Amino acid sequence: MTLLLEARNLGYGADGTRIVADVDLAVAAGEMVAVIGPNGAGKSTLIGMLSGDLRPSTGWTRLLGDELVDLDPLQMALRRAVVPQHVTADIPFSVHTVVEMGRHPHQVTGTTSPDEDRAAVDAALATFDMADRSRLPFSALSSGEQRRTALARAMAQDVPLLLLDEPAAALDIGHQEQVMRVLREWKDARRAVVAVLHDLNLAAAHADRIVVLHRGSVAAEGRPGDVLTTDLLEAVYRQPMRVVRHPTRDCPLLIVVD
Amino acid sequence: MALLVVSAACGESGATTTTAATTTTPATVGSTTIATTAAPETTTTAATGAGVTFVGADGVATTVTDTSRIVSLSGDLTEIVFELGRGADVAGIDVTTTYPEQATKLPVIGFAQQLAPEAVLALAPTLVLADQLTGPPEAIQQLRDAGVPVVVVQTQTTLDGVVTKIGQIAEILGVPDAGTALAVRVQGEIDAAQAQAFAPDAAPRVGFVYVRGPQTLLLFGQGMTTQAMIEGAGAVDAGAGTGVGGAVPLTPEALVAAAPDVIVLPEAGLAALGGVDAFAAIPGVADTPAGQANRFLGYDEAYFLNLGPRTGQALAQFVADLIDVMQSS
Amino acid sequence: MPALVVLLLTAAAVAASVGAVRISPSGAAGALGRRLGLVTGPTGQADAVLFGIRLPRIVLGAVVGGALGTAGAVLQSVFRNPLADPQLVGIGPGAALAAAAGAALGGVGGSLSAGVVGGMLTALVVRRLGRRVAEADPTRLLLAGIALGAVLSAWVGFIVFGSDRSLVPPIEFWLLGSLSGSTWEVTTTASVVVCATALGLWASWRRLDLLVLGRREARHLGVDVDLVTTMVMLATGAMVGAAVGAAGVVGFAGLVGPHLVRPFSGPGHRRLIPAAALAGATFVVLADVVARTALSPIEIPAGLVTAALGGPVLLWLIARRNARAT
Repeated sequence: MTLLLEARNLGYGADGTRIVADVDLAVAAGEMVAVIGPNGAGKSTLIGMLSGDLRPSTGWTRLLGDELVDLDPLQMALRRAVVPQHVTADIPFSVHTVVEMGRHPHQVTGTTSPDEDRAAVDAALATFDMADRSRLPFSALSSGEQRRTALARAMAQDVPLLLLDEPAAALDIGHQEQVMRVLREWKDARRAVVAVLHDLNLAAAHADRIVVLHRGSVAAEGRPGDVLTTDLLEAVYRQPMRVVRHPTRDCPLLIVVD
Repeated sequence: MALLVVSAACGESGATTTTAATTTTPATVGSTTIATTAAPETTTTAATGAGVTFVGADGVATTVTDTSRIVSLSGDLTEIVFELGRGADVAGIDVTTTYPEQATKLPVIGFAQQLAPEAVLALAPTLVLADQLTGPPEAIQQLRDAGVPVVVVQTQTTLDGVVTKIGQIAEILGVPDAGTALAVRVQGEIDAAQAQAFAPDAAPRVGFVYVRGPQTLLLFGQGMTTQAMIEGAGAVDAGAGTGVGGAVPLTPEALVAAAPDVIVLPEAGLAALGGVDAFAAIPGVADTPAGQANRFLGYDEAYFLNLGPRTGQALAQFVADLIDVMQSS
Repeated sequence: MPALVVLLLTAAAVAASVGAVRISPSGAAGALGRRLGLVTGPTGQADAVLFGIRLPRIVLGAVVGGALGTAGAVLQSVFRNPLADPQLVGIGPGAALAAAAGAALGGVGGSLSAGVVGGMLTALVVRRLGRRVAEADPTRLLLAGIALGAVLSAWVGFIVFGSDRSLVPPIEFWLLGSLSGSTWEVTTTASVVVCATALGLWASWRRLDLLVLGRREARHLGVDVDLVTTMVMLATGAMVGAAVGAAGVVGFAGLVGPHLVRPFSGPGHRRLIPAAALAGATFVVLADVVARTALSPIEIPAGLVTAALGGPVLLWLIARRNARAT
């Protein structure tokens, strides 16, 4: 089992305000790991540390075996792609150009050709349903279309690990499902996905493993069926819920009750 | 007088300056060493000569052969050229020329301190007379590269410099006789004026305030031509006396420290300010002896500041006015 | 792009034919023939005026405009701010301060080299300002830059008024920009620095494009954002510094150039940089024609003309931005 991502004792924040504390994580090829938790639980901070944006106060992260502190931005870009929570909107480039920028790490290291680039970009655009809008300026898109374009760019980057912060935000329910299916197919091909998800049912249906973050620490971790229990969820989310069996899928279904 | 000695040693023929012997004798007039040519004497018309080589204040030796179209870049030099009888040869001036009246009708090439070479070249000059304030140096170089002789005359700041300047211009234009005559006359006028000057124990303090507009008032001090005029009249330059070098913005403190008994201003600037009353209302003026006794004198700017042919007259008038105004208070 | 080159050459031809000295077309042709070695004969006034006065001035104008246009395009991308311009963010005044001091100490050579150094130092300061202030609210960067520029410009005044007038150009030269000091010596030196740095910036077009995505996204895609930004700012500062050392702060060329061409060249820097450079060059050459002829024979500073023409463009840009935000 190849560990694409490994983190040990990750923490962020000065004494007094610990945003994230003592998080261990291991992600193998072929896995989709969903990170869930209430607002302020530290999910985005965790993704920030895993992607190399934030320097952790404690602990370390290994990306394909090398510690993040030993990697320069280009080396990181050849191993992992990131789709952040907030996508910069006022980009004047066309959708096609924005997705093509995902090929930059390979172009700079000379490990690709224009034909490969074109193929990767076209495939990514088609996958996320943006092919017919590829000539439009990015700034003219709706927020959902911008998110799909960002996802397409991450896919065009063609790297083993995908780190996503709320990939389904602003997407309609149809596109939400489609994105999750795409991610599942993608990670099955010996890659991995770590995604912060807001929607518990999306996580339940698509993730191989779920990490529940509560007040900066891991409250629970494991398969959806094992982790998503009524007691745990009510304690973490402070909201009465009922966990039932999904009628058609082989996964839990969460229902909010009064 | 150094000038007279040089003239006697030179041959007096036409416009060419030659040495009495066949060797080149450097002569010193003022602070400039003039290298004279050993060319044979030629009788030429007044407008052109066989060539005078003049070493200017910038150290550049210029050979002047044609003085038929002169551009003068300083008002005092224009006045001298006209007084030497060569006004008809002046083809262009800059904004500092305000006298004589015929000169002001000539094409103006702008402000010599921000020289536009093309404007000068458009007048097809055969000689450009400049002083040390003319610039930028690149513009002067561009004129020279275009084949126009540019002579940079030393900017004088003392009364003695007046005849030096006259001598230099006369030399460049090739009119030594007229030059000598003018120099003698002007020096005589200056000497006569100075004979009436104040004795040191009765010297009043006189300050010169330059007006460029309501926002720009400058107190002149050490090294300005006004110091030469004031001290020439036997007065104390109030600005220079309190350590003012050059021109400084006028402040109440500077005025009070200078404590002038009389304040001299340029006429046009004073009028632009709103007259003597407006000037007297400026903070600090009323606290000076001049302000309290209402002793203000105004002169045409070029008349008072150019150290030129009218300086003797200006000095005489200035001394008379000073005596007048100091007595009547 | 070819259209822009033609436009610049036309502007240059117009500038060459205009001036206080009248040169007939045949006179100009003769001078050109002599210069190219096609015709022999004595050189006349036309030669001196065309090749000694007008041509270095036109080349300097194009080089200065090209530098400012390139700098404007690059600054607008680095700070993700459409109002960025070398003068408005303070780099121009900083270079002017250093160049004025350099002139006082070492004449023209001192002015150019000091301008380059001053431009680079100011660029680093502006970058720090930009990091603290910029991305949230682009107009804050401008406010900080204008304040910085005001302070630096004031210090230029101290140097000018305290120095020997024969060495240091007057204050209008520095703050309003002027091509009056355009000898071949100045022009060639400035051209070398500007061309070298502009080419370096152009060669980084990919990284500049990525910076437009956002600093974080650019880093995710492998760009060492801090290093690239530092190098870009140093190159821009040196380029602007050389231009300012030669001609003072010519404002608005860095704003007008990029904005006029961006609708046609697109946002990609591979085409935007050369287009903005050509547009800036044409703008300054034409502004100088107006500067030389409007009040002939008095020459007004070229920067006055660029401000008169460019100021309304800035106002329009601000208005359009406000309209979009509502």
